[in-house]
Amino acid sequence: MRVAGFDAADLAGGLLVTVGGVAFIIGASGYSMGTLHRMGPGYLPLVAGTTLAVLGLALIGVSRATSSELPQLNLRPALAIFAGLLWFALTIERFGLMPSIFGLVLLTSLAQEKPSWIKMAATATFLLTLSVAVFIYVLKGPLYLIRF
Amino acid sequence: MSLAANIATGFATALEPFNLALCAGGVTLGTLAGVLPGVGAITAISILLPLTFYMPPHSAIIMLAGIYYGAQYGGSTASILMNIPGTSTHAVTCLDGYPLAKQGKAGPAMFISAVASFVGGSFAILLMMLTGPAIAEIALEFQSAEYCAVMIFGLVAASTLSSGSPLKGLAMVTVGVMLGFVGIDMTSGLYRFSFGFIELADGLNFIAVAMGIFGIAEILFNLMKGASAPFTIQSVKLRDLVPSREDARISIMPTLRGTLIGSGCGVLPGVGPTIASFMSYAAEKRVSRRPERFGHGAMEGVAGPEAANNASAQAAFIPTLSLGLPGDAMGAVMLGALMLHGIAPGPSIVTEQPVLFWGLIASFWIGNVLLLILNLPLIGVWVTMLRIPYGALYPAMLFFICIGVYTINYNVFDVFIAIIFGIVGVVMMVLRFPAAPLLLGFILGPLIEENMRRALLVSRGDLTVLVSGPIAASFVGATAIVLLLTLLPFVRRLMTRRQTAQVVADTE
Repeated sequence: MRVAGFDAADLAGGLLVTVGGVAFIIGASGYSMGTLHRMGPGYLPLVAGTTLAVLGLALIGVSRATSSELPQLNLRPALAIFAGLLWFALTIERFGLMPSIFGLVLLTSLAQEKPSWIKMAATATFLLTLSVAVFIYVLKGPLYLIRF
Repeated sequence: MSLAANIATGFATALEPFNLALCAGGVTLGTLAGVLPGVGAITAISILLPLTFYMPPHSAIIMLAGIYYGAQYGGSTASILMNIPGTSTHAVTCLDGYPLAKQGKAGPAMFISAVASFVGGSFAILLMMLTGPAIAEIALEFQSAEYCAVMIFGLVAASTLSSGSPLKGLAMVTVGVMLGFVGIDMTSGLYRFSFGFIELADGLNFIAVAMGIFGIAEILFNLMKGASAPFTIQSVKLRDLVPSREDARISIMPTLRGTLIGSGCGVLPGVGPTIASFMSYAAEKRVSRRPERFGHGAMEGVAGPEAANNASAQAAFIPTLSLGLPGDAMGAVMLGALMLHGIAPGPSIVTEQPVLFWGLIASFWIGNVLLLILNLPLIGVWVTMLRIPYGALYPAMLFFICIGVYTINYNVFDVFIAIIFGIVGVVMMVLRFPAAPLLLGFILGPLIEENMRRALLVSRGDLTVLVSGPIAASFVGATAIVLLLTLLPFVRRLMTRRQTAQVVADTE
């Protein structure tokens, strides 16, 4: 992304912060303000929202007068990692430690250009052994090795 | 209690086998986190945080603190051997550490670095023993208004004095304060910003937020930046460690200066180990009679910054514990851990939890001695650790984060919160927003709200209560000065731009 006359990261950040501030003001306006003497639940959220919106506008204002690009980032790691994390969240209770660990290691390893099967297997086995020992035997938490 | 009695209590606590084991485990893990590039102390701590639920609070804090200062020791290893900072605070050590390694002086550089770290750390612990209780005594007299002023000063200073844009820092503090509003409002019993989730009654889970923003985001950002170039590591033998008489001699004064600079930086909110080590390096270069040696393997450039970052890391505990005012993300995590154990941050920790405060101090001494042993005779072990490929390491770290967050309440909801904040953290990194102020705001925000409401209730809505009394007034004044100094350049830039725009418009 390139916007003439502005630092792209600062401009985008400023916009994001302003929008966040305004959204927060809208959210806070649903709660009673009260008075300075007896502040209601909405008083300080409103102050914070306003502060944030003002800071956002200031950020837009000072975003440097040089054009620069956002750093080129590789999206593959992001997809792989969030897929792995979601897999863990969705499987840990329903299917147990073993499927969730193997899935997480497999998916997150795909973030690399050349994932190595040996490394994956070693990591997953190590993690499984450790977590069975710690969470099932020592802490005796409500976790299962595997269940369907 | 007298100082001697307190110290005795402290050592009695720290020397209990369980606490001793946790201290040793903490500093060992901290060294490992420091040694491995891409694994910071904060990631290591967030991974271990859930385990501390099963311990008494003083044991928990002994272990967590050990990780923190342990990482300050370990971080120099990769900087010297590979020219890659083990943690961000050790970037400066690369400047002269790596050239020294190329000259075959990696061993002496690591020796000097460990000893300088020990000196810096020890001085800051002494400082904490002497000033901590005194500061707490004064702070115990604080009323709500004073607390409020001190905490606001802490937030503003921490977000503007650290490196990077002060506007972005302030924005992140505000976002943190906002996140602190989530959950049941203490006064009215109303659910705020909970979007109908009953799980948010007690607010966002602090660990989930910290792990998302630091743990997940940092790993992802490392991967997105791309793979690091392959490197070769020299092996280091024990007998290579001993520095020459000349190297030892020229390192003495830089170590002492670094110690003072680091201690000063440590007690100020926002001015943490990173800035301390940069300042120390700059100072050494300035006082040196031959500054041209810097960058080409000057031992002073290793000794000073290493003393400074350790002194700073230890001194940061002074405001964190005696005022309840964390200066950086680490302090926030420590206080968050204490709060999870039901201990309110503030000066009462020093007086009402002597076992915790003095036990922690005693564990600092033990931990620093252990670190000296870990980092000198056992240095070969850590060098071997550097061969662990990041590709095998990060899936394991992500798993520890997930399982750690999940086992807090055995609730998947917290894992989703961590994932969401992982995304937030990455966006923040890409847009160069600092993460530490967010965590500080999140921890201090609810306390500020509570104290401000109480102060205004007592004063019947009179805002001047916030500047009544010399302490509150001076902290509000200091806040104003910090804001003015950091924001003035922005105002000036805005004005010049408007003028340039005017000129451009006129000429057209």
